[in-house]
Amino acid sequence: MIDTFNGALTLSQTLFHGMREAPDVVRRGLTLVLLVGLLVGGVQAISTMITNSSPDRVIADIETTLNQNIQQQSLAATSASQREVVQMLKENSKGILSLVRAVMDLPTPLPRPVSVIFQGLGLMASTPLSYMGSLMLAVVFTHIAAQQLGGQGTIQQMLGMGALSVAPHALDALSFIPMIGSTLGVIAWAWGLVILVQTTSIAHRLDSGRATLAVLLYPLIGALLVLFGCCAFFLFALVSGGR
Amino acid sequence: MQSVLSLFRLGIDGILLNPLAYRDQRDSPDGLRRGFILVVMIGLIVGVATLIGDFGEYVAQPSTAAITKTIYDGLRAMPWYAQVSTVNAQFPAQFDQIFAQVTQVVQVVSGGGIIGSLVGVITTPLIMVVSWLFFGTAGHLMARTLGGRATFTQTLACTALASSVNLLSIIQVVPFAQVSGTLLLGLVTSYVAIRVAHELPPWRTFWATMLGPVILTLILIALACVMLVLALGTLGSALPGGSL
Repeated sequence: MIDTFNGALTLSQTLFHGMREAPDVVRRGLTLVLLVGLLVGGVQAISTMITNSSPDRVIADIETTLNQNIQQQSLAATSASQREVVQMLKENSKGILSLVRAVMDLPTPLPRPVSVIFQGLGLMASTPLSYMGSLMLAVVFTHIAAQQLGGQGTIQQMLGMGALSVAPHALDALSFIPMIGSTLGVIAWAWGLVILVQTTSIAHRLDSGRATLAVLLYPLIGALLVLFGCCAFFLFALVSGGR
Repeated sequence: MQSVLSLFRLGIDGILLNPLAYRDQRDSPDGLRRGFILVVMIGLIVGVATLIGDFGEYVAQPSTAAITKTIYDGLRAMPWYAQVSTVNAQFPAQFDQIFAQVTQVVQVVSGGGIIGSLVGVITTPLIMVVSWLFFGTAGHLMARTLGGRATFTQTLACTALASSVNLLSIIQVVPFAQVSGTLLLGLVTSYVAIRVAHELPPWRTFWATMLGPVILTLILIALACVMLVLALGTLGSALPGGSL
């Protein structure tokens, strides 16, 4: 499995061609997703457990987020009613934090550390399926587009080989590190996109241009639809406001 | 025990889109019986796993009644409550009414706690069998219309294998675990099931697979619209003036 992982990261053509012909391509691909998911989920679970073990730290995090939100809202507030809402949030922020503290201090049948461990385990178990959900979305739309562009691969080949694009997301395990965590996430996403284009090209026997188009076609259509929807909504709001 | 393990392996092959397993299901004389047992077995396993997971959450969290009371007291203790109550003397009664309705909705959405999970041990296999029959029948009718050659029994035998995706919900045995991604994987396994059973070309298989989910989505949208209208009506009657 470590060879598959390394081969995916280094865009090994030998691995990709071997995977296309392998009868157990789906099993190999999904095993990789499982391993990356458990690695990332495990690290995130430990990070979450450390944070959640101290209620004071949780309250402090919520307070920071709340203050940031209030600050953003006050900067964005242009009308009197919006300023009134921001003022209300400011006046009630202490009450909100007291409420969160009161809920956290409620007694539980088992000691609080057990709940923290359970939450960590839940996060760890959920992460592989979360990756699989995103992968399925990418694979299904890419497969449909590739078929429309003349691709010849099967859904088994597309799923098994597309799963290799999850390999760079092992970097997500470092997402808890402030500042560089989000940058690593972007790198992992871009790296995964390159692997998905390569695997689509090989699985469907398409040239690189068509494979890139197959990967990007439906996301671009979706983005355009959202853009048109926003424009239409904005125009509608303008027209309604003008009356 | 041996047959349970072989059924479990069959379910795993279904998730891994193994075409040989689907062909074996199609050609086996007892494919339908095996498929039915597989669906029921997965339903029972998932039902019990969910019960265990929910029990873990139950003993690791404060009681719902305690959380509700704390939130109720906390909201009433905030400055905004006193301010609005000064302006509108009827506000405390309206607040109580809205809070009670929101609490009821949250309780319904959260699934009824441990009692709901206990009932789920029985209802989960039933729901899985009904959805297997619904999607199997819809897929079969559409596939036959598009030129498919499989019998109804063969389609159901293969789509039973496709529904083994539900086996992934077993992770709910871990408290607080969330299942995601099974919907699309379920569509893909159904696609493979109908393709193998009816030996249709890719695009015809695609449309035969999509009919059932499209019908179900339309039904759910219609139901959601009805629920939304009812919820807005209830909320409207609770607000000042009696309407939104």
